[in-house]
Amino acid sequence: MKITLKYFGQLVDVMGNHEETREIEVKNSNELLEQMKQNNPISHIPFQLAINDVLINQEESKKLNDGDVIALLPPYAGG
Amino acid sequence: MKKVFISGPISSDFIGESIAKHQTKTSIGAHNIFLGQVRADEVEGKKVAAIEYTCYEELANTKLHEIREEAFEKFDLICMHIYHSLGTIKTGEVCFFVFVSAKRRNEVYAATEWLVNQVKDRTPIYGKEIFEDATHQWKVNS
Repeated sequence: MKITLKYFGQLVDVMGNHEETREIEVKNSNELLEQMKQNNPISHIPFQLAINDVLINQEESKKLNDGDVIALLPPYAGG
Repeated sequence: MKKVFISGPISSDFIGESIAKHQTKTSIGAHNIFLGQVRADEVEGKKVAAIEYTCYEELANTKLHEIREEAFEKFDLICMHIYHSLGTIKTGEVCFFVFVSAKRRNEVYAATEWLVNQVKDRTPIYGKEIFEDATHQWKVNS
């Protein structure tokens, strides 16, 4: 299935873009996280996930669907 | 949904006009305002010249709406406004404006502090601190 990944804050620098579309094999958010941490230089950066604009609890694994937009959100720094 | 994000700095005129708009709301007895200004921090001899703010707007608007609803439940307010800049804001310019109004002063002090903290903690906003030599680092809230 195809998903869109959106990066914010420091992750924009590390990943080299704001957004990308990927073909993935994984079924849920936990598997995606594991795969991303293995293949990308982001393991040292803490972040939360949002799927289709809704924050998800890191402990629960959400099923992913074709066309999902997944945002990777490092700690916020507004104000 | 109330508009929170403003492109560029928040001007004194904008702040002044916001105050003036409340003169018709005569049940208000107390306003309180918080203004966040971009500080020229120094890191390893380099000075911050500006902060470039970005946000995840869809989620930010949802969170700001929740914060707003909670603020009205928690405090006895007549009205409240939150504005935050996006884009490049130079040092000395205002990037964050929280404006709270109530019948009496006790509520507005507590509500302002609560709101400022909630916006910082719960809203996906990011700040890239740009140094005078054009290098940058990502702002971390303390």
